[in-house]
Amino acid sequence: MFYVRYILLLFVVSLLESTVGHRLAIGGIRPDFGLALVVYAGLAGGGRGGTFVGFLLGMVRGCTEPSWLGLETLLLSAVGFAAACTSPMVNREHPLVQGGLIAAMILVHDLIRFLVLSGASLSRALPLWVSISPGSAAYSGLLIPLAVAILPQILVRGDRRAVS
Amino acid sequence: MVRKGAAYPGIGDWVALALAGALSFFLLLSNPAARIRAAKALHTTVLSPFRLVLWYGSAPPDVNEELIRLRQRLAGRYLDDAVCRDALRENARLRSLLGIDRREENVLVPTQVIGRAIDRFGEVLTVGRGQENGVYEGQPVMGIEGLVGVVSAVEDRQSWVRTIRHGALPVSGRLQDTRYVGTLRWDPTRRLFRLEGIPMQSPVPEGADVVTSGHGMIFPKGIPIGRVVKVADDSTALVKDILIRPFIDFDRVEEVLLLGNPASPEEG
Repeated sequence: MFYVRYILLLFVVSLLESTVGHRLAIGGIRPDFGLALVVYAGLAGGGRGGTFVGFLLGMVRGCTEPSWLGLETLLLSAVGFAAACTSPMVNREHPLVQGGLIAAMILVHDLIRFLVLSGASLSRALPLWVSISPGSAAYSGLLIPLAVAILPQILVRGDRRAVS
Repeated sequence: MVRKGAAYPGIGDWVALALAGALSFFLLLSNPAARIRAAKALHTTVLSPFRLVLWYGSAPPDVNEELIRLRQRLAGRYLDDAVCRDALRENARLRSLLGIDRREENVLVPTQVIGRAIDRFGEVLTVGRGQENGVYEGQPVMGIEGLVGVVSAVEDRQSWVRTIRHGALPVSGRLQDTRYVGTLRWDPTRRLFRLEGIPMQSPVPEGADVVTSGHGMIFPKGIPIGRVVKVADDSTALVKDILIRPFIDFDRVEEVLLLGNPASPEEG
């Protein structure tokens, strides 16, 4: 049930990003709904769930960037897994915790992504990262948990299968 | 401390991550053409049911094909640009061979219309710039939309502009598409211009634009005047009867532009 729900959510998120994503932009900064979904999948579904949703979203994103197909699958799988690793240590149902986790994951994800795309050139990657990522991280970290708290609690309901 | 309902990743989770990582590395290290094929295959098979909805109002799905098309168009534009530059150079060379000077570059000096009068022959506007501002008799005057007239008298701080509706100011006009040249005269009863002297056999479509021909040395070539609204087909006549509606609404003109060249005295 978890996988079906998150696959559906994946398409809803893709739909949101391609239709209203640009309308939500503030000064060119857009929230990253997809990455937030992976974080939620990691929190709710554990390592396997987070990795699976991250990989799937990475494949969907790779379709628009075929020359880097594989990069997003790797990064987003790692994001999902990392979110799952933090799950036992934090109060995962608290919106502030969720927001902080989403922001931190966006910062790390973007830094690695820009480093790879720039051929490991810190001087090229860093200005790009500074101009995009902190804004996007703050925006996503504030907006998305707030929306999730208001919307029905479908994301973080205890649907996680306990993995010992 | 482990929160309720959550647990540290177990062996199954690590295996899932390792699988995802291995697949990702495999994709990343594979042949670029194979990656593009894989992305296309994924797109057309798995995502095709959602394709229309997903890409509605966003980027087209076949980004690479679009990119290739755009690159081809860009290459075409580069070629066009090179041909144009070549033609410009050839034009300059031929002009220098024939001893034709470069066209003068014009400057436009904006000014307000401060008065309006009707003399015996037609309409005259008073504008708020004069000799002190470098205005001279015979200076062409334009509006934003097109030709207005010519400066007919100048004082220190104001001058008078005889509009092209003035009976004493015939204007030589050219049909922009067919290049036929005729003389424009104001018809006060119809409140339209008549373009006279266009041969009967010449094709004149309604809606054609008329610009100054450059003949007569008063107005520079190519200033918009008006648009053909009616062409009378009288087979017994030798010339066409063409009615032109001016682009400028003379009854409402508030600002005009004095057309001069940099060599003329500048405004103060």
